[in-house]
Amino acid sequence: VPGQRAEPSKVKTMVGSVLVATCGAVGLVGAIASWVFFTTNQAPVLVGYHLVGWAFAITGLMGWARRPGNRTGPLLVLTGALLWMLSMQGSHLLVLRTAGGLLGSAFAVALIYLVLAFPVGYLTSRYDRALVVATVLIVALEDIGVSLLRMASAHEIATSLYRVQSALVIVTAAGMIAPRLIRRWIAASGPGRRMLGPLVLSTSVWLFAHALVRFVHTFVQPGWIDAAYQPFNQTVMAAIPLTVVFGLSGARARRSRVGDLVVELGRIHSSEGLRPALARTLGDPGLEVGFWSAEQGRYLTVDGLALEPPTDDPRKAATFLESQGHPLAVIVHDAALLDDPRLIDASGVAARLAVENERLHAEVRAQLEAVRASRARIVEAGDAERRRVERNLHDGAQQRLITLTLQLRMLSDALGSGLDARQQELLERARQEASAAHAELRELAQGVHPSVLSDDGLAAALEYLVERAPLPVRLTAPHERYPTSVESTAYFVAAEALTNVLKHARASGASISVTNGEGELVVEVTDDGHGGADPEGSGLRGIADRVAALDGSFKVDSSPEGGTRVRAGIPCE
Amino acid sequence: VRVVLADDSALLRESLARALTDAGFEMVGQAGDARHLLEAVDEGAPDVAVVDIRMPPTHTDEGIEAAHVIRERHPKVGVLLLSQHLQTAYAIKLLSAGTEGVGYLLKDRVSRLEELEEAIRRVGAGETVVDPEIVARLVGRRRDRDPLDELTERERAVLALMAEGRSNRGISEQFVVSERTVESHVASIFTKLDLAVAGDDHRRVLAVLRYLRADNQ
Repeated sequence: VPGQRAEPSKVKTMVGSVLVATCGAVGLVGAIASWVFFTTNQAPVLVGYHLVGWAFAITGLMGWARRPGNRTGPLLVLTGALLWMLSMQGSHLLVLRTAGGLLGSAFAVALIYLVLAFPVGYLTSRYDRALVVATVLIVALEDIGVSLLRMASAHEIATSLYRVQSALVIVTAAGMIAPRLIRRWIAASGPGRRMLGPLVLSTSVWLFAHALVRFVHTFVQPGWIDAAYQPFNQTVMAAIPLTVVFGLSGARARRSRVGDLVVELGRIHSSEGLRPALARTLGDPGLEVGFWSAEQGRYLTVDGLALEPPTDDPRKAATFLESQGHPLAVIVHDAALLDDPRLIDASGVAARLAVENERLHAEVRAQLEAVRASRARIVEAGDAERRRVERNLHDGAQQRLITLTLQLRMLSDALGSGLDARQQELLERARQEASAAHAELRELAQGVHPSVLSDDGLAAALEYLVERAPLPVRLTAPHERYPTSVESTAYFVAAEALTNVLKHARASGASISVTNGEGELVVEVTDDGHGGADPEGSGLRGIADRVAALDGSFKVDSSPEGGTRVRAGIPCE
Repeated sequence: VRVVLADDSALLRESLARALTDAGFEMVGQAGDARHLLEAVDEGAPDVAVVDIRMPPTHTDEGIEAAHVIRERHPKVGVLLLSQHLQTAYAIKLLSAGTEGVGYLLKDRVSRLEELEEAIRRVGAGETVVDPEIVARLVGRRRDRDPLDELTERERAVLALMAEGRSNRGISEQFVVSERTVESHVASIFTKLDLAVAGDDHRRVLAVLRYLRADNQ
């Protein structure tokens, strides 16, 4: 099935080994036989074919070792073996001579099959199969038909048949097989073209040249043709296995680029960069990457378009990336890349790491964002609650206490001189207690939430704070208004830091500075005390958490020489 | 003295109205929010409106807004603002719009009736009243290099009374000295603090408050 990868199995490898051993044995026997039994007049030509056979066999063995699952290697070996058979035509032994004659052109069938099946190793279309069958018939017509007629000394019929057969060779080679190869090269994309190119070129040259020489040999018959034809034919044929080696070494160079791919994927950190990086590494500009969408149950490109793995296009193939059994992504690429499973596998592993990394990154980012948002909501809810408590105290208990003190005063006035000194003193003390209770409650309410902060903003609230501080505090603060959570966080940072100064620093002065930085409000509280502030103490820890909830920065520097410096940066858009 | 009283706590408002009536003030209207306050002032033609700063609907500074409207519509009506917390910024904001017949007092003062009564009378008479607590806070604040150190004990006391809105006569009555003596103290203070001499008592309050406050920057 096109689009799916043929995995090399152990059985196939074993069968392959047997085949290699067989071919090797045949080759060895053929070599010895040929050398020993060559007749003198034909020896140079046949030795030439024999050597070309070796070129095929060796190249085939190399390719086979590299790609055990691909039939291109064995087909090369087979072609080589059949060329050895051809060379046996020159033997003194009748049996070898006959076998060589009968199988003299069979190598052409193997070779045509090889190039039509390249690079996958089997024929993918009916037309290709028809071409191979045609080749078998045409070859049989010469080797069996013409040979038998000649043996029977029916020379005129043999010559006529040879002419017909030559015409078929010319039409098939130049008119059908070569154009077929060239068309396929044109239709292929980047990696396919690179792989097919050299082979198609050398094979096409061979096919056209063969057709031309066959034409001259059969229909013009000049004297020099035999001498010129064989060396030329052998040279071009020898180029064919070399071009296969050339294609293989190209793939190897690309494989080394997978290392670069890994480095590049480590750098890009995004799904957008994956497709171009893979396309570059695999040399396939038409490559597509689809990421699995669990919601939609299909693969989507980075642009959000659905990407269906190809099922009916033999030129496209899909490589699926999975993580712990779950689909992750799919790479849709040129089928020719399947010819080098290690390249596509290595790229796939690199891509899988990148995709999974990106997915985990996104997951962590989303979780972080959710946690950040919920922390900010908790702070906001806390602030709202503080405001509510302050307002309730103000509107309820505080008003009642003021009324109570007023009524005690009125009671005292109404009773007037009817009270003795002790009673008057008790009444006055009650009034003072109520008044003190009110003052305490008022301070408590302001500590919960200073009403001036929501009414008049940060600068006014800080001024209120500084005015009542029992040590000189320099204050600089902008009078603009900021979002509620920013203002209250900035206020509590300053208030807590100032409380710390008063409690621990034994400072003679302090300063609060609020500045509007780039996208953030910076609150700095410094003192000239003897340091010793504990950033992990509950007060500073609390405001650090508050600042962090708004995605801000918080820092405490404290030293006996330089005093304490608390700095908070609170983002505000 | 005719008084309109505005406070959203009905309990406190009723008690205070009774106390003020007992003390000889004529209550000509009461209100629980700014809108009713303005209606009461329009109808009752009071000499003074005593207004709680924090009232419905926003519970922030409706009182100050209402005070501005009253000052605009009825320049003769004095406004005494009451607040649970005294904010220098509020005082400056209030006085910047005109100091005659304006007062800003801590709400706690209602339990010291005589202080409240005096403040209402002074505002009614067109004077300025600034709560002593604000002044004490500003004067008593510690500074890096305190220019108030150069003042004598008596001059500091005079400065505080100026900031509370007292006139030279008021100050002289307080200290039982002649108005001329007070004038020389004031001149000395202005020289030592390098303050531009303000023409009348009203503008003097603002100048002194601003001076005391500006120093903290």
